[in-house]
Amino acid sequence: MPLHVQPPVNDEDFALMARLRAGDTAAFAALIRRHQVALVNFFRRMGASNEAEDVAQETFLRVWRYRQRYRPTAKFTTFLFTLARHAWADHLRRAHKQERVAERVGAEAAPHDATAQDAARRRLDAQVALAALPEKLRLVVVMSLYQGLKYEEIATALGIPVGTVKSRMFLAMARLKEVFQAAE
Amino acid sequence: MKTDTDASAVCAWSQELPALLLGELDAARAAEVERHSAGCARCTAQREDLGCLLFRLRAPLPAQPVRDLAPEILARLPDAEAGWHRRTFWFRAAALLLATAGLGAALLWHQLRQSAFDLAATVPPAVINHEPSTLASVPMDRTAAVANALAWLERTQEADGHWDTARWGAQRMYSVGLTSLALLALSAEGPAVSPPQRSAIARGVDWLLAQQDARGQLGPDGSAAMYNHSLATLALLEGGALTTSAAHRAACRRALAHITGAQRASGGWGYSRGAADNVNTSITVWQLQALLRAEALGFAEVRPYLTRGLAWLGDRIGAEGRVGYRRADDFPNGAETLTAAGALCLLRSTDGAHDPRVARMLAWVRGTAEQPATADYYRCYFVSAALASAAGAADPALEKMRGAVLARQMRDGAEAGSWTPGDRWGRAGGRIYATAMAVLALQSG
Repeated sequence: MPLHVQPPVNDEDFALMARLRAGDTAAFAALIRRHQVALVNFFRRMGASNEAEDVAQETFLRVWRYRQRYRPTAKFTTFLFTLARHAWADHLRRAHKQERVAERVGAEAAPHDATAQDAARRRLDAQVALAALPEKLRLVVVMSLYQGLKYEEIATALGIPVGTVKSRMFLAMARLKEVFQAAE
Repeated sequence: MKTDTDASAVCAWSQELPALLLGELDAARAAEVERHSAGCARCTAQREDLGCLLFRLRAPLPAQPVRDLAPEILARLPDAEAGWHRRTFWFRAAALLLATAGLGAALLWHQLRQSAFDLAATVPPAVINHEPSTLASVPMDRTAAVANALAWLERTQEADGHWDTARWGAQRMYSVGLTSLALLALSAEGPAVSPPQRSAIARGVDWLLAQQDARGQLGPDGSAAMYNHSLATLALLEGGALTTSAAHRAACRRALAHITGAQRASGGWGYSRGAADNVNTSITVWQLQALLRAEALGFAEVRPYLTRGLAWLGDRIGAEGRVGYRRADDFPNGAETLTAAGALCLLRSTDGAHDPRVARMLAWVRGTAEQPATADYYRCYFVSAALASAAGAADPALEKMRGAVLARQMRDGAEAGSWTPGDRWGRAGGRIYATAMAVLALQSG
């Protein structure tokens, strides 16, 4: 039976969260500044554009709201991205974003004529390819490739087994390969 | 039929390839997958494809600067918390309703059952009523005391927004500082503050801003100037002056510049007319509090002054963790208040919170909290704020000290809700000081 390996804890985040739990807004500001770039880019990778900062703000407000629930047994980023995942899901529900992403991907990844295909090929980059993935697969890819979360941390953030993370990543890679091949 | 040399087919091992390339496999499993893929044409081809795919996916995003989100998020906190409290209230109300309905149904079922088997064994009403009333009264104590205190402060505010020192037994030179303390007490309620109290804060903020002179100083010159000014700056920041208008924000910036401009070469602050080296911890901790709050609200420019100020403070910490007045071994008015204030500053600062001396300071402060016999509301506030910052509101020493503060509140008469200024600072600050400091001691954390 494999031993459970405790993820490394970032001392700085841990100290800031300890102060945050006592209501220290200076610690909160410091925490925001440490993670705001990663979080905004996370939402951009997930498909947000102008609203990426708004969802990042919403995520940080949730960090404040649920600060008493944080336990320093896991990395702060796992806690942060758990909340980010919820904020993103709420955002999608509010804005019916999923339909719009699907429409955009459909327009760009499945053009109808040769001219459009050429244009699509030029435009197709990682961002568009990611948008072609179903939400569940995209979350795993973005968290792993761009946020640097380990499979175990992703599993915690998404509330799924590590084996599911592994299989979703495999499926995502297969789908992304198809998307790139279809555009070439 | 597919063979090992058919590169277009999918090998069962290929599911492990993403994990292998992303470094997710432990050493033994990675070696196993490596051994297999070296001899498997399908995995070799797929591994190559996967490497290209990861390379394409890792293309950096187009550079887009990310704004500093902290000031906006911090400014949104009061409204956000008010929304959460509203939702929590309705959620709890609904839960209570359901629970009550459930309890009622259970009791009804229980009584019907009892009546069916033993009509004499009904539940005495007193037993049913006892527990809910006991549970409800315990958490109400501090909340009710704070509410009464804030109501007293609200009704004693003058029409123009200040609190009259002469009327409440204080020295006129502290008028700005005491008005600021009253505003800090009212502002500490955050989104829970009532609309009339919110108006009281707005009037007080306007009055403070009217006291600002061309140098940015809030209040008159004199020996109380730096106390008045730092307290007023803090009250403006806490009282929402940043969000009301650009003029108010500019006034806050001028007030902060006055603090940073008054910092001495050593890093500390002192009386405004004193010699350059005449600095002390008592004045310094209030300037640091104002700058720390400003930094938290997005005024990043105060950081260099904070760093120097905190370094100065650090040099006043003695071996036992006590903080001295001018030097680490200088205690003309005792060490309790200054040590608590120093610990609070360090706990609220990003760098100071890691100072290993904080634990010693807090241990010493906690010891003083266990001796609440002497009323000293100034000390109580700093001890309470430091312990709450470090450990939250559950600290037994903190609760004991707060209990002693609660016991001294006036419960009836014309001044019900206030505290009588009986401590060593009472002659300077009067009833406004005692009440504001006591209620801040109860609110912090």
